[in-house]
Amino acid sequence: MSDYNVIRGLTVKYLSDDPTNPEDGQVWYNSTTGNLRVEGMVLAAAWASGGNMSTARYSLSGAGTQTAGLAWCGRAAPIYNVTEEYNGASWTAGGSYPVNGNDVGGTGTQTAGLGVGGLNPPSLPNPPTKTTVAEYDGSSWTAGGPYPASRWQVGVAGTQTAAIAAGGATFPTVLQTESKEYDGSTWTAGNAMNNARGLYGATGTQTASLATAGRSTPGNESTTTNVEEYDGTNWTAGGAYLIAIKQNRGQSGTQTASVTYGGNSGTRVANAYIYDGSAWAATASLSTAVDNNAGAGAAPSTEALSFGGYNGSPTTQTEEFTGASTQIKNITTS
Amino acid sequence: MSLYIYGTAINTGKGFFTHQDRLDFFLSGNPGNVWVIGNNEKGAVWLASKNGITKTKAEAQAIVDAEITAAQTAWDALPDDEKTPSDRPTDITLP
Repeated sequence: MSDYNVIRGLTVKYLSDDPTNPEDGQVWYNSTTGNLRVEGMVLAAAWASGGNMSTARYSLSGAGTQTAGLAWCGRAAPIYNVTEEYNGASWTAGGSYPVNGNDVGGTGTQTAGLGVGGLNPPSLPNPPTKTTVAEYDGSSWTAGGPYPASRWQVGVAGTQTAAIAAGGATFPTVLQTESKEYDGSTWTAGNAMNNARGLYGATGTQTASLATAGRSTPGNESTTTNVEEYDGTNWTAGGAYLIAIKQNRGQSGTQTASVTYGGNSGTRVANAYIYDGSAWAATASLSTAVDNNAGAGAAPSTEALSFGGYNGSPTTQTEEFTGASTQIKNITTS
Repeated sequence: MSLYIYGTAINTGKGFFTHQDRLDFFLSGNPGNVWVIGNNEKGAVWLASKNGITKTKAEAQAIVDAEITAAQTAWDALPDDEKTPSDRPTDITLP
């Protein structure tokens, strides 16, 4: 029979507390709790319920993280300018967005959010799409540099002072390939995407962003598996999404570690997938199929927040994603 | 034995279902506050702990159908301009 220190190259230490950064598979004795313990038991990824939003809506905008999220605009029967802030447990009211709109592009953080464009059909015969750009400081929205084109469905990634906006649509729905970079005050034209898209997952930074699926051509409302990556200059093909979807605005993370959740493949889906910069893999699904939801989450692939959306009706539902992790467990013989 | 338990329960937000719940049993939310729950002891305890009301599969499906029908009717009544952001709600067949 082999000894533990021969197998692992470690001895079983006698400690008064758990080690700070135990190695995978490390075993020790915790003299305080009286337990033999091991690091490395895998806790699978899952979505848990978060605090419900105050206003049920879909086609809303999102930014921030799982414990400092930001939601604004969206629609149910009315079209909203409502902003709500999430603290990891509950949503509270924030400052109102300057215009009522749905499908406003969004990025940034709870204290430095950025909204771009949007749609307000009841404003007909006035132009229903918006060039409005607004910046949030944690309490109120102020005008940013106007978007050069009147758009909705735009995907936005990056920060309030270094963002990339791409795609989107004119009214009612003619999808675009254009992209534009924002420096906090003005927009400059970037190179076009290879595929027109709207209502898609957008995440990352101005120099390393990811555009996932979304409404596509032909017909402007088709589903797609197409994914593109932006390097600050050009858009190139990324790994194909595993199902053809649209209206999948729930996405967070980075270009090389992203998680996307919800969408519509003909029917609304609860599926979630993780991207590693080249390929997608399935992860734990949302509890409830939803599209036109919003997302937040800073930590690559390990945390995310899905909120709002349409699941048969406009919803207040919030779900919190925790990626797979290892954890410490007691070793027992019973 | 059926693979699933069916019931209605109001999602009260944080803590309504936990990470561990999702690992312990299947859980799927549907219109009308209908939940499809994996048929094991922990799933049954969860529904009871949420003041849930157990339904037969047929009863649960009827609630979902009524919700979807109402949503489809509402969507059909929208002006064309307001139909563009979302698709017409589709029927849902419970597992």
